[in-house]
Amino acid sequence: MLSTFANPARFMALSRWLAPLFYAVGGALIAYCLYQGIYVVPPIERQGGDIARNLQAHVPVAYIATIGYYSMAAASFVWFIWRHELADMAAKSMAPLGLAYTIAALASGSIWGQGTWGTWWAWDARLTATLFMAFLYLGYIFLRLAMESRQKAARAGAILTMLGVPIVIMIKFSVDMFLTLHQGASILTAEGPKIPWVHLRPMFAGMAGHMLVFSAMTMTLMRADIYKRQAARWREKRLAGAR
Amino acid sequence: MSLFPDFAEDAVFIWGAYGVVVVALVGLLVGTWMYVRSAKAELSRLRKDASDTDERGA
Repeated sequence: MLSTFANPARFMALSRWLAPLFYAVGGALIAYCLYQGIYVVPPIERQGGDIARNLQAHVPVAYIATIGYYSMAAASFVWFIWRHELADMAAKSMAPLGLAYTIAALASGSIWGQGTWGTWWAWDARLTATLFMAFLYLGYIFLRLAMESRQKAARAGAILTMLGVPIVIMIKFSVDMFLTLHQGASILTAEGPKIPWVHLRPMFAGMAGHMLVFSAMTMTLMRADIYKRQAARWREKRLAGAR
Repeated sequence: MSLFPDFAEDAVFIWGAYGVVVVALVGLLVGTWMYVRSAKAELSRLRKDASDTDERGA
């Protein structure tokens, strides 16, 4: 089944209508989440009152920063084992998006931290692991740029991404393993979610929306990569003709 | 319903966090769109140049 979707022509045909659909549905879900966060959900008194509205802004973005890394690692694994070029293109496209999402998560979390903890930054396990994830994204981008061929860039990038997975897993479990300023797990817990459903519903909508928009942007960047490869082939053909 | 609800001393932290997310998202969307547009334009230009050359050759 993987080979069916690993065909660039099939990908171009599929992404032509799938990407706009994902942008539209994802954009609507994000707008709903942010609107609910500002205007509808009630303040949570035990979490600082009105400032708990930041759940709707920060959590979906932080969630996608992590999911983006796992997706990049999965695409790298597919390239590493089966050498599907589209998988490498997907990993390469996700890196700048994941980095931007991680920076947005760190920045929005930092603002929230100043409001609740009274500090912009703490060398807390979750915050530090998220910072390392930003460095992994950045390292992946620069490592690829440093390689002289596409194959070498894909191989080095795939190895780095797969090696970084334990750090990203640490982000999830850091709040349970260490004493942290960051609040503990509040959605996936044995007793069920600790956040009221009225806050969870828009937050889940935001997560789904960001996931769709992230996927759509990945597809768009992959399409750009395919255009660039086609342009390079045209240039080579012209050079060969001129000789 | 007010466009800017009164969040008292939390306002700057709420609008700040929402602002960061919206700016990041809009920046990513615009950047992605400009990147694919330039890649597509470059390919179209090369194809057009090649077809012009073919026509002149013919």
